[in-house]
Amino acid sequence: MTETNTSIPSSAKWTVSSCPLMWTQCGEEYIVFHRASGETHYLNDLSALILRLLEREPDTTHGIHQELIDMLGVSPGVEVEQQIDSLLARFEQLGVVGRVFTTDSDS
Amino acid sequence: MKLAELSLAEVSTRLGTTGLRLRMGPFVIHIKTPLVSLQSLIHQMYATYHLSEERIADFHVVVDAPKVVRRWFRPQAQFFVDGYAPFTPLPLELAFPSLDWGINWCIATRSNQFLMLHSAVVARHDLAMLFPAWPGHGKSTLCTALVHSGWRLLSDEFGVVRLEDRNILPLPRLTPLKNQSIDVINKFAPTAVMGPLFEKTRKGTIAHVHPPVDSVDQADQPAFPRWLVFPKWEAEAPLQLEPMKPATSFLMVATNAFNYEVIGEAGYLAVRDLIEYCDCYRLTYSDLSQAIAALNKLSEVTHG
Repeated sequence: MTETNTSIPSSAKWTVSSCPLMWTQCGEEYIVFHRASGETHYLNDLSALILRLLEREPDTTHGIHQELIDMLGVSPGVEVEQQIDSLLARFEQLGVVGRVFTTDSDS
Repeated sequence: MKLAELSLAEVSTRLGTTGLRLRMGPFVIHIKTPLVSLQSLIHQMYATYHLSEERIADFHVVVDAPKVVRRWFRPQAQFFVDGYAPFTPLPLELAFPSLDWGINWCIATRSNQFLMLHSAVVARHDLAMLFPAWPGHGKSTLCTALVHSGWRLLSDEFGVVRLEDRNILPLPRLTPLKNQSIDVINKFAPTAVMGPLFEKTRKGTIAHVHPPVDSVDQADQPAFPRWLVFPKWEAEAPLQLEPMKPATSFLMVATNAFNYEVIGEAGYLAVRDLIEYCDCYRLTYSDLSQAIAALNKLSEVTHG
């Protein structure tokens, strides 16, 4: 996957595609089959973690940042957040994740 | 009954009228042609194949002269499948390669009941060693050398994975060797039966090596996938046979398949299982004898 520079609001809420993902773990790498597109993706551990989180439940960009920083034990900062945002943007392009749009009454 | 048991006259009559049904692995090919020179080559080159009594054929192919004035001053041959011509015509003297390429094209593009890998496959003790590779990586030469060193030929071009049980189905076809590979195999395996040279094709000079008779006779015996070896021939390169990471192997197998994306989830699950069943290696070689010795050793160690 190539990274993209995209500004993503921290309040944007994300969810995985409605079609379940199929996973194959190969050591620290993962192969994921996306039924909806028929595409197969090769993921490193960070990419896989993002999808695993969103498979569990939808979350905001900010929530994903916090959870991953805690899980990985890394220092918070712009660099790691940009890396996560780039992956979210790429997943969105691929149709693997999408944004949850809420109405005023939901919020 | 094998094609060789029919006389040339009988074969020619059938090819020119009702057609000839040949079994090639899991496929029945129905061939018709009025071209006399091609009839003779089919009789010679497909001699060891079994005739099929089945009324239903997988592919109905015809090689005929195009219906244009040009046929009178520069004769050509045109390949058709189901009445459709997928390629431009070739000079008449390339009618046989045109037929053979055409059959390969049919198999590659219309066999979605299988996962079709772009891979040579050989077997020993009914365990298959697959060689997925891009054109030019030397898989046909390596495969030909192996089948003349005690391995069974399943295919030089197609890894036919049966989706129900992941067995690899044999499809022992003629192996087209290109340019320098022809001399390499002539020296390495002088007993290999080779057809005529076809010059000035889009791939250069080619010659077809006949599959060993035993391999054709065992074409109904599948083999279970055990090794995935990604070969690459490089001039003067020292022999290297290195384990490959499963994730990398997965992607290389998937991207080498003819129909991975077409068959969707079934393809993903089949490749996942192949990676689980097989030991995966990257092979770089320049010397055929060294490569074969290493692969023999690999099969003995992991089989035995």
